[in-house]
Amino acid sequence: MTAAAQVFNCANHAPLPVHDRAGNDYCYNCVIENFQAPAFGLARRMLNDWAMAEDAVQESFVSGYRAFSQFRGQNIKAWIMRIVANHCRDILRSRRARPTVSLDPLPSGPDDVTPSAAEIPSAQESPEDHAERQELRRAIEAGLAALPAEQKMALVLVDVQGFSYDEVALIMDCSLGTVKSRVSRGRGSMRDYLRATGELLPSQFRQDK
Amino acid sequence: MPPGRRQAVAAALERCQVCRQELDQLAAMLSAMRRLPNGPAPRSFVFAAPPAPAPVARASLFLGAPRWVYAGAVSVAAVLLAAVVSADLTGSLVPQDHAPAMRSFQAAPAPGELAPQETAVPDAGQTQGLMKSAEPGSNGPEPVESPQPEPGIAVPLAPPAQGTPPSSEALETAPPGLTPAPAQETAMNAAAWADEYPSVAEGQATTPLMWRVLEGLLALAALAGLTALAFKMRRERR
Repeated sequence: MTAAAQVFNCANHAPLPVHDRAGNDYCYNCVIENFQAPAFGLARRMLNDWAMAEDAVQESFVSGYRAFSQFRGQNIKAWIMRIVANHCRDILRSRRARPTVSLDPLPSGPDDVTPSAAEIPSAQESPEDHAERQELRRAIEAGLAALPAEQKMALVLVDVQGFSYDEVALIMDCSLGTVKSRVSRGRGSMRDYLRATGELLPSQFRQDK
Repeated sequence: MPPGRRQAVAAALERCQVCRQELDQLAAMLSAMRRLPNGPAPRSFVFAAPPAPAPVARASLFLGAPRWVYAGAVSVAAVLLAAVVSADLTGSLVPQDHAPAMRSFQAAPAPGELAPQETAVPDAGQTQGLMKSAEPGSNGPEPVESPQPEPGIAVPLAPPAQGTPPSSEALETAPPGLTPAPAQETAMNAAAWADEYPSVAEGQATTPLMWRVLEGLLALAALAGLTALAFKMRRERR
């Protein structure tokens, strides 16, 4: 536990010691702090629902805590993201079986994302460029939401979150070739979607129109 | 990308304007995707206290055993099923009282292989000729060739290879001058054969129901084991 406390920074929370299968010690709260942002980002884009994504991430971390003794000590980020991905798959499957309509007024769509530093216009960017970039972002979020679940997951992990193909193969529990295939098909679908989207996108996407 | 291939791609892009547009679109899209907001989580998911351990699920008889148990059960069921089916296909499961019948059935020569062994009694004209040639003063009876049997009246002596006794039509259509004694004997043999092995003669010499049921049960066991194994692997993956 001492080693884990030295590796991670437990200043903001109570230490929560866990041991993996290889006998290594970790602070599970530190693991959560390190990976909760990408985990939530994946869940939000997979589920298109803010509250559901929160629940999925919380349940994933609880599952991870209970199953931590099965972790073999290789790539903890991929292991955590794999649990989140599986939870998202389960939720999507149950949602398909029992479709529901949310009455929650909380933000639940890609347009309701809380503004981040990336969205604040820079001094060098003209208002037109900023508006165009925002429009492209919204179009990409909508295009992502329209993709099949497995292509969406591969595209979010590779192109949005910057995971390597090997890590995505671990997360999605499939072969490297399958990941590449899904990413390629997802990119093609996204490009087609952007071409078919309105006139407000950057000039690259208007040349064919 | 290796340098040589990169140069080849660059040269191809210089020649192809459509390809350049495609690449520009893809690059712009990927750049925009990488700039999508990946902000912090809306709240901290850190645990204030350790989560309660998972509720202990009641041990299930269906999925409670280790994985190797299901794999072994499936393997055993598959091997047994293969053994029973192969024995069935080779006829080893036919009861013993049918075996001699099947042997005699298979040992019977095919109709085309039968030599015409029938002998015919000479008709009246031929008899007179013989009597003439046997009169005193002659050189003695000349050898008389046996008349060849007319086609269509040859009857196999053994039970027919097709498993059916000879038809009575062949016996009835025999010319009156010929003695159908061998054919009658054959018919009687076939009838006796059918009497002795009625189930074989009626085409009922099949695998007993018990073995059929066993084949079905083994197939069901193998299928159930495979299903349990798939469920267990899926549960463990989670």
